[in-house]
Amino acid sequence: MLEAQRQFILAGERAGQRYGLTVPRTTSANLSGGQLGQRAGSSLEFREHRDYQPGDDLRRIDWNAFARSDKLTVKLYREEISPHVDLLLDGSRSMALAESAKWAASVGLAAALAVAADNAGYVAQAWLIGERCEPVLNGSGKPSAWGELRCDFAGNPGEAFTRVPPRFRRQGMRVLLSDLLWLGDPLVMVQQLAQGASSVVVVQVLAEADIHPPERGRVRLVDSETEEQREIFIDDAALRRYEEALARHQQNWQRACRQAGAVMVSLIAEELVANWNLAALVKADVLKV
Amino acid sequence: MPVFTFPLALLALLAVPALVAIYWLRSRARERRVSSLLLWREERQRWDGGRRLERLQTPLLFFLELLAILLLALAAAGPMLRAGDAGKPLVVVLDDSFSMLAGNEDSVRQRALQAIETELRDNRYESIRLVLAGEAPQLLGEAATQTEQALKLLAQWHCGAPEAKLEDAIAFAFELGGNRARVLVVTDHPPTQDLSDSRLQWWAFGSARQNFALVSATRSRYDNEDRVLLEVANLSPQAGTTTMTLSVGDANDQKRALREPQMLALGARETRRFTLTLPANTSALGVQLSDDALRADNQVVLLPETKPTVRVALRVRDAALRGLLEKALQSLPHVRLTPDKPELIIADDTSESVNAPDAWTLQLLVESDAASYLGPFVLDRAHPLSEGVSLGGVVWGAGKSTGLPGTPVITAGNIPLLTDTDRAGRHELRLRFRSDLSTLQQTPNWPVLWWNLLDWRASVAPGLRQVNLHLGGEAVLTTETGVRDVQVRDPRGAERQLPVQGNTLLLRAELAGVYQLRAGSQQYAFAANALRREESDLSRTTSGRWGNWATATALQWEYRGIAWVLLLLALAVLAVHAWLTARNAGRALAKENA
Repeated sequence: MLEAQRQFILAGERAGQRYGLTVPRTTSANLSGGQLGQRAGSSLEFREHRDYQPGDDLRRIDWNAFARSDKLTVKLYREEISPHVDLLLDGSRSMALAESAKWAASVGLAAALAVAADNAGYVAQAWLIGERCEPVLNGSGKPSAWGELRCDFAGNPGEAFTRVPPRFRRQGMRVLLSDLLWLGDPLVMVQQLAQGASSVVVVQVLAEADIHPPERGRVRLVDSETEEQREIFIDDAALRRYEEALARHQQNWQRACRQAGAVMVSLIAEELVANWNLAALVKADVLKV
Repeated sequence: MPVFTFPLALLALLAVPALVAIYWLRSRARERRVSSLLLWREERQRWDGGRRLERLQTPLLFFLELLAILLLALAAAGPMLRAGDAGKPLVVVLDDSFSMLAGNEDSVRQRALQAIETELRDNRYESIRLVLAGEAPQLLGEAATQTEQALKLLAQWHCGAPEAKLEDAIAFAFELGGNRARVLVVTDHPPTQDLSDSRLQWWAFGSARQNFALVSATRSRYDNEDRVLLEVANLSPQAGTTTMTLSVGDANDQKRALREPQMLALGARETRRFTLTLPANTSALGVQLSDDALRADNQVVLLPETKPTVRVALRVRDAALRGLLEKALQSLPHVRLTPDKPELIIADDTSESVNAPDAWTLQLLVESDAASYLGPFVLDRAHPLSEGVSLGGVVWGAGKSTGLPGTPVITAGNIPLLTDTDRAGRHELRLRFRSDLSTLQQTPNWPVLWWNLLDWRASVAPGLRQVNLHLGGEAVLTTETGVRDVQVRDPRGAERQLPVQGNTLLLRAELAGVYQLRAGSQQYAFAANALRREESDLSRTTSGRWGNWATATALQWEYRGIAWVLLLLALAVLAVHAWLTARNAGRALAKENA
């Protein structure tokens, strides 16, 4: 297992060396950190004045200017964000779907993001979501030094994450790597993830079999996480309904991400491990070349 | 248990395991692991979601197909099922001879009736037909479907026939009932041979008894007096005595004893003959034996013969020929030579007019151009005039021409000698005869020929052909012209009116005794007597039952093919299968479109 994990990590590291982690434009406001963000924030570097708007921090009002012009204005400073990224890896069994590259892609992608973060001056910390969300052994070090990553959790990762929230570093960047295939309100998970974070990126890693279901006919489906079985007859109509359900599920997550200011990117594991092309993440301003 | 005509067709049942294999292979699902069943929640689970519908659907189709295979395989095997008890017709052959009346109040007929009633009440039959076995089989009423109907018909079973031809009646019963019918013979004696047909049962209710009987009785006119011949028989193996009483007087007159009752002591199976002479015009003679086991044969009635006399007008000028004719005619009974109201005119001169419109004519043709014929003589044996005539060695002198009106009765080669022309019942006869060239008048053929003519003419005269008949015999009454029906009163006093066809009434004497007939203004009577030695002999009668309907041979007639029923069921099952399949396909399409 460790040997296979090492191969995935090495592949990810090689892929991540070309990239640097960037700060997405949709980072949460009113957070301060060690890295200057694109938006106005609480750093000491003055940016501009603007008229007061209800809800603005009263501490940012330029009282001198008010005395001069009898007009409420606020001073805007560059946002200061902490150069830290938490990489959350879904450790449920579905990530290790048989005959799929989902786990290899997820581990490799986590390694690539860790390397890209290091390239951008970030400190990366790897987490594994199982019964609870726990830091990976040597997760702040180089990916090749990470401890064993096990994907044997038979429960709901969303519930596990929200039940015992991990203590992330504030104003850090948080990246969730998962197939997101569990039952629950995505908004709860994303809001929990975004709380105290400078930015949140949700990377959905799906297997080809998740997007295009198995062959037609009488099939007994076995849930890889719960071992629950369901015997159905798959025909064109059933496939169409499945694709529609997948699309609706992804839309729910995207809607939740938009509401929480997070970025969501979907990747196909088999395509990713084939060439380690991270263009989708570059396009989403998560990585830069 | 069904019987299969083609049991090898049951090999088609091998299709059943094939069907099971197909369903098992088709319904076996492949296992696939998926990341989550989250996205498959909308899919109806085969055994879980929609349990009631899904669980019924596929198995129902399977069972319908299974049922169709079973039905088709069974139908191909040609199954035969035994018909139900209610599906068998019954034909009862009833011995209608008068020996069935033996025992009087506790008669054979009475016991047979009780047994038949028990049989009909204990078993159900599709139909019940009754056949009277007399001299000829006779159907008694229509087929009865209810026991009560059959019992009502049985009341018309009188046992008045002089004999019972059971073999003919049984054959008639089998033809009447068909292959599925069961035939029950009810009589008083055992079967003469083993019952070859197991559809037949033979019930006898007789018992050997001592019986005295009148087995022969005749009365004939002879020289202005009636001669009576009687035969009394003891038909049992033991000697015994009986009393014979003679009386005269018909139903309308006071009967009077002719002589004192005579005690007769007869040995075993002895027959004794009695003759007596009665004055002419003595009315009905009654002969009565004392009561014994069978009363029907203890009494006879002999009526005086009333054969009509034929009035003959002889108009022959040839003295020699006239002499021959007179001699022949005067030797015959019931002939009166008179020119007044003749019924038959014999003439050698056709120029003389005939006043009587109903008179028959015989024209004697004495031709000058004649020859003697030795033969070959050809006779129409169906003609009444040719009965008993034999012309071998006879010389017949007659004219030479081949043309003569009428239908030839006797010809010599192509020369007609005697011809007959029917004029609506009135006959014109032509006889070519030259006595000087013939030997015919010196042979018995001469009086025979004239006997035939006079008897024929008398037979069509009004009156009864015969007044003393055997039971079952046929009385022939010739009525006067214009009479359309005859009132008949039978020995029991029942009256009925019978139509006359062609001046003739035929009436079968079904009861022993005197029948009274009224035809127009004329009254006639004839007597029917139960004179049959075989029927009176009760020594061979017995009781018992022979034959068994429940034998295997009998049952084979009661099997019916049910392949058509199975085929219909298979078609129905396949129709339901097709409907279910179409319905499911329609629902799937609707769901997909939705």
